[in-house]
Amino acid sequence: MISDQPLRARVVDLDLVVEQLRAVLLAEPGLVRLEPTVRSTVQRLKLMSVAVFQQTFRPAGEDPTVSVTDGLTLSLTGTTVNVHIDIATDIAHPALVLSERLQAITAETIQRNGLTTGMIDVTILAIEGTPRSRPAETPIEG
Amino acid sequence: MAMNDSWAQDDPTQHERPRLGCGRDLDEVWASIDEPPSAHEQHCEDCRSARASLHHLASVTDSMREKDRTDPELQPGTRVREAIMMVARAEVRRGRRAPLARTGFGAVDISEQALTALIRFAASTLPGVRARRCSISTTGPGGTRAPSGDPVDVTDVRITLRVALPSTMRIPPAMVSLRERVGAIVQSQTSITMKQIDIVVEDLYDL
Repeated sequence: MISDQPLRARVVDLDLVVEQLRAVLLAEPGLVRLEPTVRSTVQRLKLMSVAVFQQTFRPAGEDPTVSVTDGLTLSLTGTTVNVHIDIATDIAHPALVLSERLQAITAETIQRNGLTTGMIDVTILAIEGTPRSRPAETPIEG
Repeated sequence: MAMNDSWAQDDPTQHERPRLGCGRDLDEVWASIDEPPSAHEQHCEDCRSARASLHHLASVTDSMREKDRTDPELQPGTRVREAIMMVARAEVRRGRRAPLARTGFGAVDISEQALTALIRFAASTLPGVRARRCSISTTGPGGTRAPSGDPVDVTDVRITLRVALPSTMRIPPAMVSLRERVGAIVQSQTSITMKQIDIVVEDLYDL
């Protein structure tokens, strides 16, 4: 017998979503790396110690509300996920265009996991590249 | 310490709050634990017992907290401390943020350090130009300088770039090319159109 009651969406593990998102983002051409920040580092250390406590005391089935990896912070409220991404980009790709693409990819990944997209904020912390030699150009000489 | 929960039937909103046998709220006793006992507390057996228990609890808690502060097992390891400090130093260098866009998904911004690095990079793509220091300033309302903690106003970005050039380079045309190059690269990467690009030639070097 099939129930006609709607099933309530529930996150199995937010850490899995953050890892999946990290892999998807790093595969995007132009993204050099996800940059760690004090916020993400401290948050991750805090969560690691809290996780040990929660393994014992968290009620069974309760969802984690924040998941952090270097440069990537996901926070969950109900089924809505807010994301903050800190990035280093390659100079060969326009940083703003790439950031907007990363927002879209993030939204798509979150929705694929059955969750609702909240705010997706991106901070560009570095644009990296090495000056390429331009043989056609010579110094402007007097 | 005698506890009474019959009051909870009268006031369901107070269900979780423990009371002593004499009817006093345990939180009230705790709130005045550092003060001398009141007239009631001096004579009430329940309050005396509660105060003694709370005093003991407080001293045990203080002792455990103090022990935690110095317990080597609870101190962050050298590697953890170094990792946090490394990230902290990097974050301080990143400076202010400049908001670039607000899309349907959220905000995109860039750190001041990333922006100055981009400007120096853009300058060094011009053959012979060696970019040195770069600073960004924005003016606040009424032409006043914006406080250093404020975000960079992307509608009013003014930069000062210091460069070294080869002694054989003709400076006026080089300055025109340099301004064009820096302006174009920053525009294409961030969509920021700079209002002012000051260039200081602070050194000439021999080829």
